[in-house]
Amino acid sequence: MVNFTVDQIRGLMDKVANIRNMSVIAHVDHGKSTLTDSLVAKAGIISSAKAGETRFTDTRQDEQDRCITIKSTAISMYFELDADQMEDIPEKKHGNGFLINLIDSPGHVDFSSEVTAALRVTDGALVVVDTVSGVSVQTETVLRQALTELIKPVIMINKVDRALLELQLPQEDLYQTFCRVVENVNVSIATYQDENAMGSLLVSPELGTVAFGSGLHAWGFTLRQFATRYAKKFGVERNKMMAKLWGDNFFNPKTKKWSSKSSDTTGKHADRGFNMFALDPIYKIFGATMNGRKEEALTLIDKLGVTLTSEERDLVDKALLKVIMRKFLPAAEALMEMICIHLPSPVKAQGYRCGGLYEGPQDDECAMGIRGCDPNAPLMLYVSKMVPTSDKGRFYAFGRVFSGTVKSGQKVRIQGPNYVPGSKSDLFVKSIQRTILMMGRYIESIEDCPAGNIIGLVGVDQYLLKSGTLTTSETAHNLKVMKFSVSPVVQIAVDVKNQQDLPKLVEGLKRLSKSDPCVLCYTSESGEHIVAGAGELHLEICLKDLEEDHAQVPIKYADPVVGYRETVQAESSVAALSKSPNKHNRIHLSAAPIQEELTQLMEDGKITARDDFKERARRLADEFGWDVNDARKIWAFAPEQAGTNLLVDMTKGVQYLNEIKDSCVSGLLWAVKEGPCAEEPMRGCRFNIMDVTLHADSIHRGAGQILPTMRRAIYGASLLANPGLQEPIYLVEIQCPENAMGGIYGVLTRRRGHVFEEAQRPGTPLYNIKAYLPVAESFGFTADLRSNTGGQAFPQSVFDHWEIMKGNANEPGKVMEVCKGIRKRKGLVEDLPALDRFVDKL
Amino acid sequence: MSSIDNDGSAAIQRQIDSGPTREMTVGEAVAAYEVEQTAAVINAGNYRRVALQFPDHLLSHSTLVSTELQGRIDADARVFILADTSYGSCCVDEVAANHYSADLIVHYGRTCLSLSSRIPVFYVFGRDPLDKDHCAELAAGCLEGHRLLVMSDVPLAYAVPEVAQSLGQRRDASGTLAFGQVVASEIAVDGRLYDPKLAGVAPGRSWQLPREESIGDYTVLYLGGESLTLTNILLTVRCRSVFSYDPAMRLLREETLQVNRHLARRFKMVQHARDADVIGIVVGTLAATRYLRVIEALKGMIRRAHKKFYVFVVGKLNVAKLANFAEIETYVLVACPENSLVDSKEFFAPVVTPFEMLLALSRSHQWTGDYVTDFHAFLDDADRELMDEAVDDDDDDDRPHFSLITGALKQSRRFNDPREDVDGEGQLAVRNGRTEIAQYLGSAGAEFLLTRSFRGLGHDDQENRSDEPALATEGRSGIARGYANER
Repeated sequence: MVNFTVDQIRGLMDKVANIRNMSVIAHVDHGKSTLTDSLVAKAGIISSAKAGETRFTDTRQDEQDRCITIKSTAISMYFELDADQMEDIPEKKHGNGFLINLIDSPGHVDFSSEVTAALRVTDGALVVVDTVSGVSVQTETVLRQALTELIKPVIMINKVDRALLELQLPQEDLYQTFCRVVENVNVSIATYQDENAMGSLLVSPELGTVAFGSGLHAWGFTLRQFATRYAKKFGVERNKMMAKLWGDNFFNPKTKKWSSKSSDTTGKHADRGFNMFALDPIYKIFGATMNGRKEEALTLIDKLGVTLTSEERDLVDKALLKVIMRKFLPAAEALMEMICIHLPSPVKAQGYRCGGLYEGPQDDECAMGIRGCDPNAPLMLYVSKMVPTSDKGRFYAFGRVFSGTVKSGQKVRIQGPNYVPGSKSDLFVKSIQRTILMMGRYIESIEDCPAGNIIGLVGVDQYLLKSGTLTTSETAHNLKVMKFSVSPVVQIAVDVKNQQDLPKLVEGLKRLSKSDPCVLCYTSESGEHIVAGAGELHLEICLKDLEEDHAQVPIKYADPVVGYRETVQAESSVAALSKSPNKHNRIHLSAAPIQEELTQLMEDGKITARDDFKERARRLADEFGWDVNDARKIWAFAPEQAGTNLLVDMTKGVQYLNEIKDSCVSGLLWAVKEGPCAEEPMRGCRFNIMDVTLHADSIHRGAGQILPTMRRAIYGASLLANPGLQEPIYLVEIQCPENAMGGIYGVLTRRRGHVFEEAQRPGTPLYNIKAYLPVAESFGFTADLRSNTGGQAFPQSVFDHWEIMKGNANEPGKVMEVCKGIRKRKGLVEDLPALDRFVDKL
Repeated sequence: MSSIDNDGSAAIQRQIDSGPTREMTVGEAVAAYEVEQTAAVINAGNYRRVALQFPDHLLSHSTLVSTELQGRIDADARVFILADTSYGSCCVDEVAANHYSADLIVHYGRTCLSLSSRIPVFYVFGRDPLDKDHCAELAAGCLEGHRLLVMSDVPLAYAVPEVAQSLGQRRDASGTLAFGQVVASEIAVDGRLYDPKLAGVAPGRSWQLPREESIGDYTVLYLGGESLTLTNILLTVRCRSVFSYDPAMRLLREETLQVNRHLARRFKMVQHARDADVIGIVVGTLAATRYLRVIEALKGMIRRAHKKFYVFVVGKLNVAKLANFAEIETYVLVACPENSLVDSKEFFAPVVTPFEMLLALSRSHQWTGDYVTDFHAFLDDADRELMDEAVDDDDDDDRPHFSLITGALKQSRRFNDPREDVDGEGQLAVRNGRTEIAQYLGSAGAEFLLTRSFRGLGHDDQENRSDEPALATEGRSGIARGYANER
């Protein structure tokens, strides 16, 4: 049944120009997996009759049951192109056989880390957009992700059958709908594209970068196909014909002339080229078959050159329609053509992606290897995710060879995300046991795999948690670590029902954190086992996997909670004074808030401890109004990774100060891990050392004296600086009909949410609502919304920012109650610590 | 008692955990401190120098007791008082007693019942009042039908057999026995005089269950208030549940929830210890026998795990002392069972028990909720671990482990690894102004020093080091509170 062999594929892997690595990305429920089926069917992996129903790439049982993709799935396919299609490929090519490595990704925002991992290993993206709901929030998000990774997009406008059958849109309206989708997509592309690196990426039907169709019925077309058909008939060049088939080009059938106006000077009506040549035949087929005029339909298809078998001719209505359309305009043809012609080969893509991928110098042997996609250069391979194997607890490392050739048994350097060139940290030198080809539900062993291909590896999973770089060059730097658009903000504490099962749970947590790019598993200070995920659905899936697959022991869950951040809201009223245990040393410290914009820059790694201190100081002074001298004396960023709290030396002429710097920094790192109010991490605080008195004798100002004192001083200064809590906020986007809006507003208000944007989607009765909703209030939000809108509203929530909660944590009120709640959960004394625990009198 | 509020006044105002001291008349003291019996033991054993060890809160009675005792013993025998114990007051302070060549130690008050190794010890537990009827009443009320094991804090040990007996005979309204089985635990100190030179029953709690019944079926009834002893029992005795009767508060309550919390926190400690590459062994006792063997066992374990250890003797632990060694990532405290459970939340690095260290380093041992604080049990486990390790010799032991602290993989730094020291080729050594070459071989301390911004004055590779000889000048004199030149 499979119409290609592993040997055939291995042969193609060497012809890099004929490889296309692509992902399918879209908003949830826009039909990615269904559409992918058409291609899978074309490749002969599933029967074409089943295309659109199997969702071959949804390999997990729960994916099939819930009709939602959870994990991205890769599949390799082999196609051959016609000679005339070959002409249009702008790159070099090796024969007409093409290897397409396709990754079908999930659309739900909770799983968008899977999309990030998929995009990293591909060069092109097929963006699927629903004709009816149009460009949605997640469409924009994935487009942005694709463009920042320098991935070239092409568009598939899907579910055209719904527009025809359900909405009964007239031809011109449908054209306008298409126009809007293309326009909206182009707005996003124009915002995020990097024209210098890749040229203009704007998509357009007349260029062939937009396809239309229905994944469910497995039909689709590009203008190129219609243009080819008519070019012969009219005797014009195909490219000219294509241009006429989109935009304001009208054809007057009487005069057989094209014009740019819908009516000519004599007032005669002319039809839009697109409507007349592309939509009209489709409308006719739909009209004839769905209204029972079967004979008309059959004559029509004979004219169009579609032949049906006698059994197929016996079908009626939708079944007949499907067969006709599938034969008339096979979706796979259109997609394949679009993918092969318009998406870049690895050779071309790596030429411009190298700068964004490789952290090291752009002229070393690895960078050269990547840019040239050279199979003989040193190996550079990025592992973007781990895929569970049938062997419990073991994983395939899934990744892309960017340079060199990876072989079974090869000894490689495995560099984790924290690897620093030249050091031994996060570095292992191990052998790859096996290289494998991953094809949806099956795997095939292969001997080796050259640059430009996507590959699975056996035997490196124990050295990498989720992702990492594999190389054979000793001087290689890392390939850039992926940055996810979602963060694990929702936490749940899990525990075993039987104490004896604890080791299994621990092992399960390890496996869980391997198997998902985004989930975070750790033990809290009070000893609870925490699983943190992007949202409720994500957590639900993770916990199910944990219990059923990874740990396989009965597990009990606490209620989901969110992590808060502690911060300060004003400058300390007075500097906090803390004395060392021996009373011989004193630290005067004040705390002040850091602007949110600056905090975010630090969080994003735009301002870090590693920057040149003079440049950083200049920037802080120019953009954030710091005193340059203070800005030059930033002692530390805390925590160590993406530190948002600063320790600034503002003392004047203190003797021996350099001796205690290390102790002060350790004290800061220690203190910001658990703030004074609720023992949550601190964020966005600046601590100024105002003055220090040190004992003259070095033995009495050792680390043991300074370190705990610094921590106390930080807590004291924070309590004196109007301490507060920041809570995580979701950006929620909801699409709904007008009559459901009342229900949405009601639910949002009850949950402390507020709407900040509301817009009608042009040409549809649908409204787009954007709102901010505290993550803490989001548990059960989806279900609540459904029941209040009769199932018409479906939210997409993604972590957006931290927002300060109104109030002082140290004064009775809402914030203090929240703090007490957290303290109670953590098994601490409920009352907040008193200031005099941290601050001493002179 | 945390460091964070250590502004000194805390130490002075601190409430001592065993309650306020009562004023006593001579007669009361003689009875409560069992002066007569003690004198008899001293005279019978012909001991010449007797150390009286009091816990801090009983020191106010010490002069009274010593005077009375001195009057009742042979004229050439001397008694003296040991105050300010080096570690916990529950442990017999043999070292301090040795300084005065004592040949007998009389230990007063609560004790952890650790074995002493050299000097005979006479324990005086004291007798706290207990309303046995009230206790039995409450127990009957909420523990009916349970199988009971009665245990107690040492000052209530005298009451255990009586309570057990009265509970065992108790009948409910219908006339059947109220409890399935009642067992009394014993605190064996062999007539309360323990001499390590003579073979005899070692101090410790013990109990005898009927055949074919396991401790898992029993409910422990503990007499006494909240104390380290209770915590220890909660952690180590794997019984069905633990109820405590506090004679002072006259309250009976179940003690389970807290245990899980406590165990969870200890589990977190084990995870910290797993992640640590540099470990400090803190000696917290010099009395408990076999502490040396425990230290040796720990050293061996750490060495085999290719981690680095340093041994510290710092007296009583506090935050400031341990924070002086910032390169240590985890401390393991070798102390008597009751003192080794340190709540180290306020410490810069966590402090774990030897058993937790074993769990952290071992590949065959896994956390199951069973907990050991006793040295004896720990050493057995450590020996078993050694056997296991000999069998399973995995060459791929530099595999990183999944750290539950960070939720990421943790790669261990490897110290004293034979594979790494084979050749020094390609390694960079620092040459200083005097053409000396310093090489740091697997020294965690030196490695850490290099990461610091301040490395002390005149360090070998400091850039602005001057090789000019300096003239000797007169230093400071006086004490740290204020040197002579500072006044």
